[in-house]
Amino acid sequence: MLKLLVQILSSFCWCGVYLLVLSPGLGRAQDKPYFVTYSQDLEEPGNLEVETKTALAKPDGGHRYGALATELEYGMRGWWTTELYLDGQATGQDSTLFTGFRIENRVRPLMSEHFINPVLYVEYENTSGADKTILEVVGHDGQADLAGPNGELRKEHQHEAELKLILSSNVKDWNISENFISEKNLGHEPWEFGYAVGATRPLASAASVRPCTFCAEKFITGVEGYGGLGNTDSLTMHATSHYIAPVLGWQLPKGVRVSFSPGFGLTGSSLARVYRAGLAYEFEQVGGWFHGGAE
Amino acid sequence: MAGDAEAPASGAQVYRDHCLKCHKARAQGDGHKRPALRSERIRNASDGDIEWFLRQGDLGHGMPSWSSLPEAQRWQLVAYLRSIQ
Ligand code: HEC
Repeated sequence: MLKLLVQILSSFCWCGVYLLVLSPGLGRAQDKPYFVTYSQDLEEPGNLEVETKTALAKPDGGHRYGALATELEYGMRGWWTTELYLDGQATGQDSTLFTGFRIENRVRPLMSEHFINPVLYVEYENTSGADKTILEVVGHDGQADLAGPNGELRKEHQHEAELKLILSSNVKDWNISENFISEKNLGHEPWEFGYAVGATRPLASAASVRPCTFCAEKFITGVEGYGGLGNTDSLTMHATSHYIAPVLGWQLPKGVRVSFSPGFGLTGSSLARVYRAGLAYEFEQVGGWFHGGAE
Repeated sequence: MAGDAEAPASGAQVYRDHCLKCHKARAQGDGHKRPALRSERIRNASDGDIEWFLRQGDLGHGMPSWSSLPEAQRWQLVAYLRSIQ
């Protein structure tokens, strides 16, 4: 267990070191500290955000594991963000392996701001059954899917298409987001459904007069909830997983953002607990490194 | 908020964090698609118009929406933009 934790933490720390060393100057990421829920925030055009998201858990009947998703998010336009995820995991008394990739695009169909802002999300996923990042929960996903040995789990290939409808509102200083998820294995599996909802708020609204690291407006807190809603063959809540997770984000100087979230399973199929940590850095205006700047 | 004596200085912090990368250090713009923010247009716009525009952005033309910033920070930005004209 100790070895596993050291492996995960060291990859997390090294990512941070690389990001700081590579940093071309000041950068600012300002996303909400959600791990599963998406808000209406898109990447600013021309910016590249690199984020690692770690999940630590222990399924019943399985070993402790740490899964790491590395996310590269680029603002193509003001209304369009594209993203690549690379996933891997390490399971105690088992192995460490790369578990696949995902490519996703998020598009805001309406150019102006409304009370509820829709975002359309389309993803192609090529992962193995050993992927344990739990970046969404759909269908009857449960802890039993995470408990088997890696050698067995990795044999299952998941070529999946995923569609999400993201609805998000910024009201007073709150962000409230609801995601409706449908996922289809491109083989012969049925459509699976899931949801994620979240609400966050900074601890203070106004900015301080001087630059500061520990002032209240640099912290965002909130909560997210997510779970599966069955599939087209069995559209029922029976044997589905659901989680509730407080979230905390902290905007550090030099454009580094960290986030934490302990998640608690609410049903027998859910993991009892999932601990998550995120580390993000925003490279500003990388579009301009290649041409005059993205639109 | 925009009338608060410290609002321009706080707005300058928010500007440095979020706006400088596109509109540049002295708000001179990038000479390309990101306009200067010391301009006749800003001088002629009301505080309310500017705050409304920041909340909306112009996604089709590369200006992000700043509705996710707390409202107080948008007003601090307005005060900062006023102070540099
Ligand atoms: C990713 C680049 C980018 C960032 C970051 C950005 N802007 Fe802009 N901004 C633009 C572009 C592009 C336009 C021109 C939009 C258009 O043509 O309608 C613009 C336009 C504006 C205008 C209108 C100017 C005019 O003359 O009509 C204001 C005011 C403004 N921005 C303020 C800000 C503030 C304040 C911030 C920080 C909170 C900010 N911008 C951050 C790209 C950016």
